[in-house]
Amino acid sequence: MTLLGTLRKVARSLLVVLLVTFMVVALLSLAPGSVATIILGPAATPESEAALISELGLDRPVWTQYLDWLGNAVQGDLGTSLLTDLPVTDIIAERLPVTLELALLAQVIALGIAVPLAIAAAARPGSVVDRITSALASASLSIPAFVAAPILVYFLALQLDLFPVSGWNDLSEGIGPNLESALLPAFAIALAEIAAFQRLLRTDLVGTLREDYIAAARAKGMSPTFVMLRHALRPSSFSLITLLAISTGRLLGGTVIVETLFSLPGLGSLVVNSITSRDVIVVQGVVAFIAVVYVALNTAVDVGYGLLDPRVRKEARA
Amino acid sequence: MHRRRHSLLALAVTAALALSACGGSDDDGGSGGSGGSGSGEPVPGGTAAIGMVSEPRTLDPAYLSNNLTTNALVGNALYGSLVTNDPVTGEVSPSMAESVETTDGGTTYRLVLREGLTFSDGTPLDAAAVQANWDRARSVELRAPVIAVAINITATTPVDPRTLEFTLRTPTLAFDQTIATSALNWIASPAALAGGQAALDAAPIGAGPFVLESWTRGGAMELVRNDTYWDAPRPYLDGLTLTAQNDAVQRFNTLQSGQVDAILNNSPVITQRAEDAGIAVAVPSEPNGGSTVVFQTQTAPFDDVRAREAVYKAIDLDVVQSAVFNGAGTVPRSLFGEESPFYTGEYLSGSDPERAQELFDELADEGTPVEFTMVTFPTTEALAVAQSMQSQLAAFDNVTMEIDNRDFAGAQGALTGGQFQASIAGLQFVDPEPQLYSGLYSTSFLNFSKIADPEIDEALDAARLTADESARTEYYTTVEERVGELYPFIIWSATRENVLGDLQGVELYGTGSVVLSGAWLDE
Repeated sequence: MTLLGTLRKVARSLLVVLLVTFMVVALLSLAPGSVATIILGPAATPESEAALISELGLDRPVWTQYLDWLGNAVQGDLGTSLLTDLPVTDIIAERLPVTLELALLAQVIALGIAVPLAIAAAARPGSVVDRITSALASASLSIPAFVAAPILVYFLALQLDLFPVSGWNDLSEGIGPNLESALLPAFAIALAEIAAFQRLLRTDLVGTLREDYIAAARAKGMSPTFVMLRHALRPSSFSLITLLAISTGRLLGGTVIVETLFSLPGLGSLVVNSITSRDVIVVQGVVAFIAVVYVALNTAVDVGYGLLDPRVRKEARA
Repeated sequence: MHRRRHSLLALAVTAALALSACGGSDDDGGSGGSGGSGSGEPVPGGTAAIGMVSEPRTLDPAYLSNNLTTNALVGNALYGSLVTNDPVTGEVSPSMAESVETTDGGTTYRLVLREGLTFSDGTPLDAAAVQANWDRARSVELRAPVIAVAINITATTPVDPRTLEFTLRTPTLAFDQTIATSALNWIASPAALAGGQAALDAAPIGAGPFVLESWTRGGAMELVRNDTYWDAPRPYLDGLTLTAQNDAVQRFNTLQSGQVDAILNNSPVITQRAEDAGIAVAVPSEPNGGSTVVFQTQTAPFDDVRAREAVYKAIDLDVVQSAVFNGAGTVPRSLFGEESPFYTGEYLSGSDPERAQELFDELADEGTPVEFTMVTFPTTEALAVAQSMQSQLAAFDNVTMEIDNRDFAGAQGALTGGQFQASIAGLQFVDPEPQLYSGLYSTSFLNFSKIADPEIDEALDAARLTADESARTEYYTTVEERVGELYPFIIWSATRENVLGDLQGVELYGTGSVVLSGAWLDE
C-alpha cells in the first residue's frame, strides 16, 4: 500500500469513528428517559430531574456535548461515567480482558474446528465428508447465540455439570477456573464462526487446488497432505484472515448476547447496561474504543497480506 | 464462587414484579423473619455465595433501596440497621438503635443508639454520624431516592453522643417504620461519604456485619467478616460472595448447579419449581399491596374514572396470573394481606365484563372512546401482563390498548415523570406507613397515579396521627373503600419473595430486606 493510500485509509477510518461516536450521542438523546431518571430513582420529580440534567450538562445541544467529549477524547480522556463516577478508560480496562479473552478463545476454537473440516471437505469436493461438513456448517450458522447458549447451558452445565452456569473467574484465580468459566460462552460464540470459516476456507481451497502450480507439485510426486498444507492452504487463507480480523473486531462489541446470558463482566454487557441506563459517556467511550480497534485490525490485515503473499509485496513496490 | 454481571434493575419494575418479607422473629439481631431449616447451633466459618436480583449502582447508602430486589442485602451487610420490623406484624425491634420514640405525639423524636457502636475503621458511630447521614439524605442538592421519606425531617440535633433528636414536617406516629423500610436505616462513616462516590464504592465504611473486600462491577462483590461487629458472635460466616442475575431462571440455574448457596427470589414460578425440586424456601414473605398497573388519573382517557373502572372490570386477573406465573401467583382481594389487621377483602371488586362494556360504550357515545398505551418495563413478566390485558381487552368494543415496551430508563422516566396513560408499577408495604401514604397521598413523589382525593388524604393524615389500632383500621378501611371507587390502579398480583437454598439463619424485615448477620452454612 502506498503512503497516499495509507493516509486515505486512515482518514476514512477516522471519519467512521467520528460518525459512529456522534451517532451514539444523537441516538441516545432521542431515546426516552435519561441518566437522571436512573440516578434519582423513583422519587424523581420533573423539577429535580431537570436540575440534575442541567448540572450534568445534558441539556446542552447534542453537538456541543459531542465536541466537548471529542476534545477530551483525542487527548486520551474518554470522560467519567455519569453513574459510577469512574473514568471510562478504567472501566474499559477492567472489562476488556473478559471480552478479549472470549473473542480470542472463540476464534481459536472456531479455527481449530473449521480449518481441519475445511481441509477434509476440500480434499474431495462433493464427497460424503464434504456434504456432511457443509450441512453441519449450515446448521451451526443458522443457530443464533441466544438459542445455542441456553441449550449448551442446559446440557453441559445443568445436566452434565461440566461447566458453571454463568459467571466469570479471572485469570488471577488460575487458568483452570478461568477456562472453566470461559469455555462454554466461547463455544457458544464460536459456533457461528466455525461455519463461516469452514465454508470460506473450503471454497478458497477448492479453487487453489485447481491451479497449475498445484498440478505441478503433484506431478513432482509430493504427497497430497504436503501439497494441501504447504502449497494450497497458505494462499487460500487470505479471505479467512480478512474474515478473522473483521470477526475479531466485531466480537469485541458483539458478544453482548452471550455476555448477558452467561453474566460475564465484559464490554458487551457494559454497553447494554450503559445504554439502558443512558450513561452516554460510557457508551461513547466504549464505542470509540471498539471502532478504533476495528479499524486497526483491518489495517493489520492489509499488512498481513503482504507477509503471506510475496505477490502483494511486489504489487505494493511497483 | 462465581460471578455475574450487571445490570441496573429497576426499582419500580422489580418492585412491581416481586417483593418479599417473611416469617418468624428472631433475637437480638432484631430482624423480623428468620428462615432456613436451621437444625442446631450456628456453625461459624465458610463463605456463602449468594445470587442477588440486581447489582447496586453505588454503595452510597442514600442511593440503595431497602427491598429484596434492589440491594437491601448489601445495605444490611455493609451498614447494619438502626431498627428492623416484623415483616408480618410490622412490630419494630431495636438493632443498632436502642429506641426511636416520639416525645410529643409524632413531631419530635429521639433516637438512642446502642453504647459502643463503631464503624469498621474504628471510628465511633454516634449521634453526629447519624445526623450527618440524615442531613445528607434530606438535602435537595444530593437528590438521592431516600429524599422521598427523608424530606419529612426538618431538623436534627445530637443531644448526647448516643442520642439524636429530630423533628418532622408532618407529624407521624410510626416514623420508626419509615426508618426500618428506607435507606435511613443505613449509616455510613461521614468521612467515607465525604470522599465522594468512587472512593466510597471502593471502600465503604459502615458498622454492618461484613466489610467490602473487592467489587468487580458486573462480576462479584466479595465481603469479609467484620470482626468488630457489635452483635458478636455474629456474623457466623467468614464472608459473602455476591453476584447478580436479573433473570429469575438464570439465577435459579446457578442454585441448581451448586454454583451458589442461595438466591434471592421474587418469582412465584421459581418458588414452585424450587418446592418441586425439594429446595429449601427460607423467609417466605408476602407483604401487603402487590404488583400493579397504575392509571395516570390526570391524563386522558384515565382522567375519567369511568375509563379506569371499565378497564379494571374488563380484566380477569386470574387469567393474567395464569399467563404470567402459570397460576402460581395470587390475586389480592384487598390492599392488605389476609394476615394484616387492616384486611377487609370487601372493596376491591373483581371483573365484570358486562359493566365494562357498558362503560366503554358510554364513553364512545360521548366521543371519548378508551384508547390508551401501557408502558412496560423490560422484563418478561411485565410484558406478559401487558399482553394478557391487551388480549382480554381485544374482546371488547370501543377500547384499544397499545403496548410501549421500554428499557428501564425509558419506563422509569415515564412513570416518575407522569408521562404515561397506564404503566406497570408496584406498591408493597408491611405497615401502611410510609409506603401506602406515599403511594396515594395527593402531593407525594411516589403517587404515580396522581390520584388527588381529599377523603384519601384526610384518612391517611389521620391514620398517621393515631396509635389506636381500631382507629387506624377505620382510616385505612376508608382509604381502601375510596381506592375501590376511584380505581387509581389494578393490583394484579400479590408480591412473594423468599430466599432459596441451603443457607441457614437468614433473616428478613420490612418488604424483603434480607439480613445475613445470623446466616451460616451447614457444611
